[in-house]
Amino acid sequence: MNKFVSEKNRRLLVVDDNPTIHQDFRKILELAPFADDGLDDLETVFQGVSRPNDRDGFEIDSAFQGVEGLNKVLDALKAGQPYALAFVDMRMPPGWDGVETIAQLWQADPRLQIVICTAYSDYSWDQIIQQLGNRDNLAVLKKPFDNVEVLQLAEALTRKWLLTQELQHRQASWAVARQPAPAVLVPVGG
Amino acid sequence: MNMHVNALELDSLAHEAKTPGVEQTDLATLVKHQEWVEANTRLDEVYQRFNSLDQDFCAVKDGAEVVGLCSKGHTGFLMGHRYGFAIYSHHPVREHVVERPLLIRHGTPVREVLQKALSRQGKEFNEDVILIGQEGEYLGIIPVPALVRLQSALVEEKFRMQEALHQRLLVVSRKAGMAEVATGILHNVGNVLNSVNVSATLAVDHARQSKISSLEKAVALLHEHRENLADYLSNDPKGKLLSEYLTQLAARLKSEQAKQITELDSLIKHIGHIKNIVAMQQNYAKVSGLLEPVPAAELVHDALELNAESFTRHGIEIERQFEDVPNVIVDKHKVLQIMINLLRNGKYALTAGGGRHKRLVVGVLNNGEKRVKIVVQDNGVGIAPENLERIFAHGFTTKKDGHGFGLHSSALAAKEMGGSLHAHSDGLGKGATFILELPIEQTEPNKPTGAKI
Repeated sequence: MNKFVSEKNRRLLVVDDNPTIHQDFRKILELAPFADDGLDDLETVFQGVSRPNDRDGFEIDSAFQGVEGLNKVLDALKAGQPYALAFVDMRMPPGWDGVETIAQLWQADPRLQIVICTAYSDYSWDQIIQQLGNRDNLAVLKKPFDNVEVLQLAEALTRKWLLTQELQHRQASWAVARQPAPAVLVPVGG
Repeated sequence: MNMHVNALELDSLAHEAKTPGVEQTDLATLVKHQEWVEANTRLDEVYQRFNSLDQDFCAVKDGAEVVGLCSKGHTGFLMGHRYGFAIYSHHPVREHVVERPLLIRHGTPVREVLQKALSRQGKEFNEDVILIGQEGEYLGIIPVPALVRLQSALVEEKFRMQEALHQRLLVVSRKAGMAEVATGILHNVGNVLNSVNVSATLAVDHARQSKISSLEKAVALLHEHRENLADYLSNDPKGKLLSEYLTQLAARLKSEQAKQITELDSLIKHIGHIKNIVAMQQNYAKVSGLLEPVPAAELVHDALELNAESFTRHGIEIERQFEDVPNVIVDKHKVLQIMINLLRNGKYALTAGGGRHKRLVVGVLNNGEKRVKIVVQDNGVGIAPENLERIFAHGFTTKKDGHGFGLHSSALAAKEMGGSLHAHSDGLGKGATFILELPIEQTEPNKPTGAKI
């Protein structure tokens, strides 16, 4: 592959005031493999098939209030290990609600993919869009959620984060390569 | 959505109230007789006529047109029979008809007829009413007693309607209170349901991925070589590994089981949580109407619990001041309804005030020998002095989407139980205090009842 491929980023942040919801996310997303007991090798001998490759796990951090979430995102940026995706609850009394939190998180890191989680919404979709703008890195997850929904959102959006990073790198490198060319770019076929 | 339903319900009530039965009475059915005399008839003839009839009034017509009403009493007076002579006996009756006779056109609304007839005073009040047709033609006489009976029927009907309206408003207001509670419950149950879903799915996943089938195959191998098992286990390349494989498999199955138990345990825990939430709601779902001894603190505690979610969401701090008080004798459902109303009003006053420090003090206090008082005090928008009395009036509200019967029905419910509900406020911006007084158990006045919270 080429040198612009970013590293895989499977770092997630869950922002929710309810501790059991954090447990739910962890149960679904973190791999909890059985102890490496050599059973899999023996399986190959006896069953004639090897175990299908397990998916990679995710690295999950928890924040219980919007402000705490923002601090985690800022710390991660400082450490050069940004989050790819955040799951943010809509209602988190007494602090910021979901919409406010998301606005703050994006201000800190616009690349962050975000999933709003909501059971009972105080906002209509229109109101959310009005406050946050129509962004392509925002998805909605309704509680109670299904395990596969969460898993697939996490897989797809972390992958999207990666691809967006690559695309930006490439665009940057093309711009560098074309520097001697005229300043005005003519669109192909334009 | 709930408010929308309420609005519809109220509309239909209002509609019913506007079209009661009495108001649709046909005036023609009230006509007692159709006696009349020509305007030119001599008074003495009219007097004789009255004597032969059992009527007090009759109409006076000039051709087809009704020109007046004459009365037996007035005719008799003019005939001077008391004095034995008559001055006016040759006069035509036209000259001595009742001034301003009340002509009512057929089809006039009953309410308007009554208003016209009953607003007349003194002598005029006792006059019968003349009913005329659309063309002014004479239809008959409606006597005053018939109008009075009509009026009292109307009043009675109005009273009955208001009673029915009030009963239904109580139901609607109870629904409105319950909707608030339901929102909190939805949120709580919704969150727990999420964990239930995750645990159940994981338990099924574990079961699906179980190594049980591997065990089946290993056992099948043993069975296959049962004739020369010792040889198979010690010399066959697969057989030599079988013991190790079974050991590993057993360990794996055991840890699988442990995981499943963990998930099922958490499932049971979450379901238990939902059960508790539902049970508390059910406790109040039935209307009892029964007055029973209840620890006041428990009721207040439950009302607070039911609203807890909403308070947290609005950042409202609750301060509890619970004294040891005797049991109150109440319909606990009614008290809960009142408390939910008061707490909801408090919440509204606090959020509308926009103050930084939103605080609601809820107290259960002793109040003399016969009563316990429950106090709900907020530091919110307060109540203007001119509104202090009006807030309990039916239909009065300061809320944008209010219906104005929350406090009204609360005050009535308190009264029904032998208690009372009062408000106090030092004015706008100075917060408000609501005081609900409830009667206490009288049998053993000196026995203090420990109220558990």
